[in-house]
Amino acid sequence: MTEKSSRTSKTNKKLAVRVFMVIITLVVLVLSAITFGWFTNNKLIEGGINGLSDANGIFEIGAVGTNGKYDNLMPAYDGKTLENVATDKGSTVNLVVTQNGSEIKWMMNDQSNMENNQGNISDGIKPGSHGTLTFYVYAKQTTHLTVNLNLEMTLYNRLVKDVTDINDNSNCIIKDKKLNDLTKGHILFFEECTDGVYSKLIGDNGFNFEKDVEENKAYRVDIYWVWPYVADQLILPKDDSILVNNEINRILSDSDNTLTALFKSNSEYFFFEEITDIQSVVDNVKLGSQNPQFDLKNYQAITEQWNKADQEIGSKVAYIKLTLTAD
Amino acid sequence: MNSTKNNKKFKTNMIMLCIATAIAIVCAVPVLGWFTKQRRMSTLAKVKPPTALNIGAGNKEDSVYIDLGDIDVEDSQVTSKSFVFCVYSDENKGSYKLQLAHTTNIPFTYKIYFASATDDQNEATVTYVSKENTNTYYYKKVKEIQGAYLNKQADKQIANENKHNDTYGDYNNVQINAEPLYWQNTSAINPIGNQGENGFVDYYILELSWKTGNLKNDKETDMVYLTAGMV
Repeated sequence: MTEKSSRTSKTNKKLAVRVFMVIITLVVLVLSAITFGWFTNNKLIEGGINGLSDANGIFEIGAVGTNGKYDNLMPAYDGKTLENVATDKGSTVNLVVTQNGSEIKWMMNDQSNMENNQGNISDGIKPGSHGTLTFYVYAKQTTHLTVNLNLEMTLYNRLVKDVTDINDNSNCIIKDKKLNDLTKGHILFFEECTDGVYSKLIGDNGFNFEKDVEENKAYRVDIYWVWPYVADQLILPKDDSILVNNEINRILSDSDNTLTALFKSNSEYFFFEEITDIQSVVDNVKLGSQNPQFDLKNYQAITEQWNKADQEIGSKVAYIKLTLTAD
Repeated sequence: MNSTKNNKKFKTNMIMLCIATAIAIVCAVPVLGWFTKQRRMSTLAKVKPPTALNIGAGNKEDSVYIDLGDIDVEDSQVTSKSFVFCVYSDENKGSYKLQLAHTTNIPFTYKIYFASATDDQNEATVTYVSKENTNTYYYKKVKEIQGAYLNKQADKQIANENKHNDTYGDYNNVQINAEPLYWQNTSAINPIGNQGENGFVDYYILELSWKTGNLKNDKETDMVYLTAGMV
């Protein structure tokens, strides 16, 4: 009896070990499938275990057009083309959308670009450049959809080469915090723009898309980017003679103090060197050059440090990868 | 008997555990995917490096070689002297303006002409001997550049007060001929001597002329500044 009991116990232990191994194998198999899918975007597993998650996703993001001019320098995958997708604007488009969680190339066209669409003769963005970027939220279910959208910039130096199996240009990413901060403060993104007046600055928290959506329909979102020519456009009053004489426009409404507030609270994003007593300097320049209290030295300090920052960006940053993240 | 029952129960439990785990894992995958899968889309923009606009002498040599030197105004045969200079950049885009600033001790008339290099010595206005390779280069006038003084008194080659503060600030004890005249060309110049990827070199001739007979070489000097700026 004791012998039998001991044998049974041994058998049970063996069984427990086997079951445990089966479980481990299952976990490993499933994880490998996910990892495999995540990193390689291998089409073979589409519709497999990873495909299940895709089917459960309720939206994708996408864009219309062709590859950007410099996409060969950027590690990103080709999206999936959906033909004749109806949009909320009444048109139909061929939409290149995200799939399997991979980072895809944002398609560019004549109306939506950062001077990087095919055929664009510009040789790069610079202070004074501005434009529109369009993308679509593609609904896979009829539902009330809320998507948080974020923009992120990755800076590359001049050593970038064509991306290959062994080169993803990650060694060319500029990690210098100051340069990253300055770029963030000088190339600005807004949710709205009317007649050259920008509003709703897109900050670190991104912005939301919230709508009742219909299955298989694409919802157009436009965002506006601008690299101001001079700091004057953000700080001087609209009718200031400095702006008028130089034939440049203020790009925010006179009542919009978003940027000047940031000049004070996060000046390292805007000015190359620290400006002493930035709070009162900004307040003084905001008065405008016609105001008797306006001190030209303050204006010169702002302008000089802003321009130096532009110079720093222009001379060190060769390419900027703009990534739109939706979740 | 009891042991066999327990044994069976254990086996059943183990199999159930195995199945339950498998189901749980398969169910967990899409849910995990649901939560972790971000949609990401990227584009790459090129940043244009700041354009460096330079002024140089003939043959795109350093501006230190633009030498106005001595001008003999008492030679009755000669009433003008010309110099070549160039505006160049390693970029081939953008337009620019020229500015000339000069004091007014000597009543020269200043004119700037678009110029082009030529091999024909006879049609050349200016001969430039390279300071780098001692070769001689010839330049001829193409067309006078239209421009205007920003602060000239009417009918006189003297400055008014308009640009005094830009030049001297609050300092007011300035002799009238030391007040510089500022001249700018009227419309922005698109680079002419485009060399594609290598940028451009545009040549100009600065001509100083005077009326003969009423001038003496009496050690008067003038300061002349040439500036080119992107617009």
